[in-house]
Amino acid sequence: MPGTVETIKDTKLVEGKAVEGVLGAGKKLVTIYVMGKWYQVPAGLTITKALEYLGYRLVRGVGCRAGFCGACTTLWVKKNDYKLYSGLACQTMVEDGMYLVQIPFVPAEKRIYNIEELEPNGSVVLALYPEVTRCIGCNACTKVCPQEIQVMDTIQEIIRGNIAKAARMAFDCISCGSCSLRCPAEIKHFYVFQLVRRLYGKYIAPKAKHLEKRVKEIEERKYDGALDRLIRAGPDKWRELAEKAQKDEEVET
Amino acid sequence: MLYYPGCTVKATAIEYEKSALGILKEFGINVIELERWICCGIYHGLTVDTAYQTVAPMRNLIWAQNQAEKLSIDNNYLLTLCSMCYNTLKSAHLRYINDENIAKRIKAFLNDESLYKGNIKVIHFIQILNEIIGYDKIKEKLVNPLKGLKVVPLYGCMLLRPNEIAIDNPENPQIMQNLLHILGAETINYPYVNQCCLSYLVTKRPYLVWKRADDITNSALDKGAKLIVTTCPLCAYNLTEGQKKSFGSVKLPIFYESELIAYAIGKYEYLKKDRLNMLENILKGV
Ligand code: SF4
Ligand code: SF4
Ligand code: FES
Repeated sequence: MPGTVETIKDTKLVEGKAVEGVLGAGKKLVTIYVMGKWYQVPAGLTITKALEYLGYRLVRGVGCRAGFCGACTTLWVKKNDYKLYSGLACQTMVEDGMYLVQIPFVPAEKRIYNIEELEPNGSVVLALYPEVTRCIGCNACTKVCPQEIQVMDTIQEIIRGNIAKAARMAFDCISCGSCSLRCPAEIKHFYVFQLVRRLYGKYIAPKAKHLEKRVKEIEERKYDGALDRLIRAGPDKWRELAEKAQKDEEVET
Repeated sequence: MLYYPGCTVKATAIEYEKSALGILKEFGINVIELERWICCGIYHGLTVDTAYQTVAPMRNLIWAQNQAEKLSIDNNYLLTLCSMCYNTLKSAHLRYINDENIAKRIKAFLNDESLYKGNIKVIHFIQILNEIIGYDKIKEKLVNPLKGLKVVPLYGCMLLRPNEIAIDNPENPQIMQNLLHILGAETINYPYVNQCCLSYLVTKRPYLVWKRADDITNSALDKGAKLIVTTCPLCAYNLTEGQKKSFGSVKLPIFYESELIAYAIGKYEYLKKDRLNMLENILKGV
């Protein structure tokens, strides 16, 4: 292992003068391994930021950077610990001794269906994804889920045909695929969960009345005039309106 | 008493759950469904390796144990309606307490759960009728004896094999017949009383299952039976589907024993409407 340093000593030249590095001199460093390579990075960075700090240009395995898109699935192990950890790189701080592997995407086959032709029941889901019944109850899926979904219990609700409950339980799934990577039954949870949520949304959940009303208004061209005025108003007005909208103020056009 | 439902009674055997739980209530048994449960684990329950297949049933046993402690239920009974669930849960319990090796592996693997203390008593619906309520209590409530109704019982295999978990003599079981006699029905001897319906083979080699359903049904029909009585949702499913395949429709209806009891003690509200009509039509014909 190369010589370990404790804190950042980096500086950079700005207009001929040495100033502190962007990440702050004096900060503690931690050792991480990226694809088997030894590095030191400042403590307190997320895994995503640490990778960029090291000069990696992220093409796959990154998206929203806010814990919503599920693109940044990462696996790691730690020293003297048998566990295989998994999480979202954009939401997880680097820890000393992390041995990291980025997962560009989780390979899985999505079954093709036409939601209009399906009925909202468990048999429909099992017909499309029969492997769901292979669940042996190991709970490996729940243990890795970054969204703290009770993944095993959700799969079990589907087996017993309770798709409405399953859809609600899997509401927060961001399709990161960690669970599917660990599942000995080779279930592709995120596709199954997408299907139950779609069935729930289309056939079971109460319809949003205000949405129907608004769509109807749009179809009746109620807002065409306002839209035209907005387009003609020009950039200064747009900026003003956008700022208002961000502050949640009433916007009139 | 705690109750483990199992997937089948929640999906395809709703009439069984409705009638069985109704009857238990009628006889003063307070049934509490487990807060948390997963498939009993049957998908792997029949394989030879022993530790991995014990994982799912063991979780259910642990959750039952935790809930019993939380609610201070000290009889430690865990009721099952499905014969397959009974078999899987009970076998896992026995494996755990009798095989140190497996217990060790299970404890190491299930370190996300509390420790199983080995005192959950898995019990099947018929055992409760027989051992806890008592058939004479059922006799007292009889209002519609099933007079002249000829039936064949079908135990299937999951309540009788292996020997360690059998609820009656595996070669000559009587527990169901005894109750049917009390309900006023006539039971007929036939060779398939303890035959396997071939259970999950229906997913892989359905033609074998249809053939078996055919054999059982024809034998019962030859002997003049008007219906088949079972307590196993899998037997019920395979026989119903098998008859539809062979005869184009169900020639010999399959009823759960609980449905017959509900009818005989005059508690029609525990029967599904179509099932009640079907039963009444059969009784009209005898
Ligand atoms: S359920 Fe699976 S795919 Fe969805 S967020 Fe959790 S681990 Fe990721
Ligand atoms: S990882 Fe797969 S087999 Fe294990 S509990 Fe989750 S869904 Fe079931
Ligand atoms: S980049 Fe979207 S969740 Fe991490």
